[in-house]
Amino acid sequence: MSELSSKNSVRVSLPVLVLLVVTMALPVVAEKPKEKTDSPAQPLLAVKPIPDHGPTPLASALKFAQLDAKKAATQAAVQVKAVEAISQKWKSADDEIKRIQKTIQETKQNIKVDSNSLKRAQQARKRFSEANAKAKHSDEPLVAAKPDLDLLPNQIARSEKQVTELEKSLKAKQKSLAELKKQVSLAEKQLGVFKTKENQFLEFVKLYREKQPAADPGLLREVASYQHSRPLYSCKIDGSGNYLLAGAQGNLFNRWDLVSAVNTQLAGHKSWVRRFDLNDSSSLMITGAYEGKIAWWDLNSDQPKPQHLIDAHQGYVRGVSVSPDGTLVATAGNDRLVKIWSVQTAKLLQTLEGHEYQIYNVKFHPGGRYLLSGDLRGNLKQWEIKTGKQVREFDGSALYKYDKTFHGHIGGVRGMDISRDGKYFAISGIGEVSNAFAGIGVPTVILFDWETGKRLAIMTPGDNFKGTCWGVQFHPENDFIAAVGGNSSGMIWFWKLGEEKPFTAQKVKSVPYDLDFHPDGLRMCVACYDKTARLYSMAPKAPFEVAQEKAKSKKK
Amino acid sequence: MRCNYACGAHESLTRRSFMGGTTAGALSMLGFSGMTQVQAAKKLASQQKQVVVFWLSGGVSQLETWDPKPGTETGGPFQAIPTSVPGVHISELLPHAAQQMHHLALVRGINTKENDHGKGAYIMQTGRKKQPGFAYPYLGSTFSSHLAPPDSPLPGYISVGAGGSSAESTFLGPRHAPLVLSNGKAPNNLEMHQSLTADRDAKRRSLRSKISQRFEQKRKTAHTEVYNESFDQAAALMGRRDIFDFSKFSDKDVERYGKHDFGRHCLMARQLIEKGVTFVKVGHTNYDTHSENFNFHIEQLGEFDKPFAAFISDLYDRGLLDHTLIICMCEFGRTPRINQRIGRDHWGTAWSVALGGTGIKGGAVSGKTNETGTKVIDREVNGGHLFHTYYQAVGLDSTEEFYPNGQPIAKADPKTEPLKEILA
Repeated sequence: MSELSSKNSVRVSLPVLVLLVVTMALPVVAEKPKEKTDSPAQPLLAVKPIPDHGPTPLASALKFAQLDAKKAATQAAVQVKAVEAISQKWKSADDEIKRIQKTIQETKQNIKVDSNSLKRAQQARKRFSEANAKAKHSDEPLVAAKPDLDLLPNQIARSEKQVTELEKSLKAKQKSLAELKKQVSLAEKQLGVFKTKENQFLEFVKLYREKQPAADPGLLREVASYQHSRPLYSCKIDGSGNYLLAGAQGNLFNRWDLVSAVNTQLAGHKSWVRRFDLNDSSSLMITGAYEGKIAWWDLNSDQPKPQHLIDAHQGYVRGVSVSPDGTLVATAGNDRLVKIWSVQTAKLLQTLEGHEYQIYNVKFHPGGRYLLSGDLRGNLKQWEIKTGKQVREFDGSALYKYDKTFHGHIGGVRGMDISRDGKYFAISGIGEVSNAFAGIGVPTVILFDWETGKRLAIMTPGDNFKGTCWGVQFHPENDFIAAVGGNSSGMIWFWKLGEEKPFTAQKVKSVPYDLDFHPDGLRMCVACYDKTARLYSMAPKAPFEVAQEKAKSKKK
Repeated sequence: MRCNYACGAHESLTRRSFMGGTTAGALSMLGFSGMTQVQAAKKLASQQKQVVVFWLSGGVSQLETWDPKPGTETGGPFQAIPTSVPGVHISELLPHAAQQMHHLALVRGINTKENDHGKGAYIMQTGRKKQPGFAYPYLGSTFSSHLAPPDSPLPGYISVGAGGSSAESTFLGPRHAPLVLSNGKAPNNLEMHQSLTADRDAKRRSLRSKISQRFEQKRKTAHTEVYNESFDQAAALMGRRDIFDFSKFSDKDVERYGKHDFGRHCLMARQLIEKGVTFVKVGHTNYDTHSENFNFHIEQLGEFDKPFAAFISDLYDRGLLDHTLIICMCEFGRTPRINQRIGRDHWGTAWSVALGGTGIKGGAVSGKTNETGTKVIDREVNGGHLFHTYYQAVGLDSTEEFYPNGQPIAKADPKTEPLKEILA
């Protein structure tokens, strides 16, 4: 969250200031450990109003737009070379074909000449035979045309064979030429895409140079998509803004270049990756999979391989979080344990016991001192990293139900995030379940105040939409929160902090299971059931987009 | 197959009280007299063949149990594990059952072509598709009529935590309808009323008998016979109320079977088999996982696996497996396709059941599905094949006929045959 601007602070009323002062006077953690927050049945005790700074200009957006433009330009330059190389091949193949065609033509001409010669020789021989017959009655000696008759048929046969072979070779070369032609066309098309992308990114660069942009979820639009062969289950964009990373309902993990959409598949796990985390100051990624293993990867490697692959939990690994300083990684899973590992050595440092049910999520607080974990029944625990002791508990049980009809425990902390300034945290899942086996319930986000531990709001869709809220994330700079989810169809919702109904929402073509904001704060990705990762933009529209929209509306 | 989300049909059949059942049984017309091969049944009864069905209501996923496809698009997140039978792998969610695989046989090629709970349950428990105007008896009633000694004081068919209906016995008569131990509790009123002494009770019974005899001298009907029989049965059952004393399981057993309803129900089933009950059906519900299939299967199979394996192991250790057939089945399997709710829907096209015990070749596998489990590619069978197999496993001739009202009815679908490859 940004600091209050002087302009905004003037608007803060006296009661609010009093409330803020009281709030700030409270200790960083509650005095009484292991005390649960108020139950969902009690009214919410919101620390209101939550500051709303309005649209925050995103200073780093220009840097990322420039990076994208540069990447597109580099890729275009590489593509130009690729086009040239393929074109050269095509030209060589074309020349070769012409040469073969010429040889065929010449050989055929030779055959014609030889055939004529043969014909003449045969006629001469005939004449000779006739003359020979006459000569029996004459004393004059006769000379026969024998050599031509012996040599020419062989020569013609050889030439004909040569033509057959050349024609065969010609066909293969022509096929190859056609293939090369296709390649040239594809490469040129790709070059066109890169050039278009470069121009589009340059338009954004120009736009952001003129005015620092702010994220506006009202402008949310899909700007790119990335395909895999299995439903995608988790996603993030790395801190450098180079890659879209996604776990899937399969063993392979995906790394897409955001600009070129080139996919590199990471093999190592033997089950689904629902959670992974990155160290923003390095190229390290740590994944956790449902087979119980965690893996270390170097994202910048051409073909990343697991640097460590460790048996971490019995059953699913459901939570992975890298500490803010990048030295620790916390994992959690179905074995009800939170484990803390050294990032450098991959050695287990601590095991935190206390959860009675499967742990669905774990996250380091940005302050670096605490860890937050949440389980199937919505029990949230705050742990002190240094001592490994549980400090507080929070009540997220609105995200859990025991369905008496179906005798099933349904729910869990499906999504969890802590605001970058550490003041708030949010969990998401399914509430008010009416049918556990069909996943019928209300997609729900619960917002908590970190300092007081109080629930600030229970956020749900504005309409009667049913399903699970699979993921939630605070915007890195602005005062809003985004969440994704669905049941048979998918949605993205945006709430202002503390408000119970979203200020905007958008349908997604398929159910999204996870989301992440681009480090530019203007874009976000979602991982969807239809095997597609989608990139959305909340940026001001560039001229090319406006033109496209105009053209589209004209068509209609 | 999409489900109507009221999908509660598999539960709705199941609420029948014990007293209702026994009363109905007592009032039965026994209209099947002469319809069975009495001699054969008697012979088998003397051999003490018994049957236990584990009914996984809602439709357990074959991919998370007996026919895993790890690493494929349909396989889900779980791995396959080796079992006690070399070369046979099952889901990692059944580690204890895997150790009993040498007592079990798998049928992986079932195609019942039925995705409806009620109809699927009917096929699997009668061996036939439902036909208008005619009802085939359910498995429990059938085996009760064939295998239970006619003079036994014990009910032939007891359902523990699996529900049941008096309609299951159809023309075999209510004597073979299930005695349902609702919520896994012993039947009510087995103890003599506190106000009665044994002597007074004997006098009451004697008086009732005399009045009845006098009545029968003038108006003897099938009804009156059944009335009398029911009182005799009730008295006999009260005499054997020890079979329903479920209070003496050792702490060790409770620990081995698990401190939950299903664990207790398995212990109850073990006791009932030990005490000589012919057919016991044990229910484990909540497999209708259109949403969160994998989480629910972790939970449900986590509960099912250990007591199921302990039950098989105990029956083997006690020499009971030699004459007890074990069937683990449900109404259908679940779709290989994983839906957007991370669930699996109804699937009768390619799924599995497990059998074990008497007459079954331990470790045998019949049938095969394709790489993704969407189709049976070898030895496709249906409920009829399974019924023939159950019959033959307990030594009965599945090609014989019932004769309700003098009409011949094939005991098992004559268009199908037993799975000889899994019969011992």
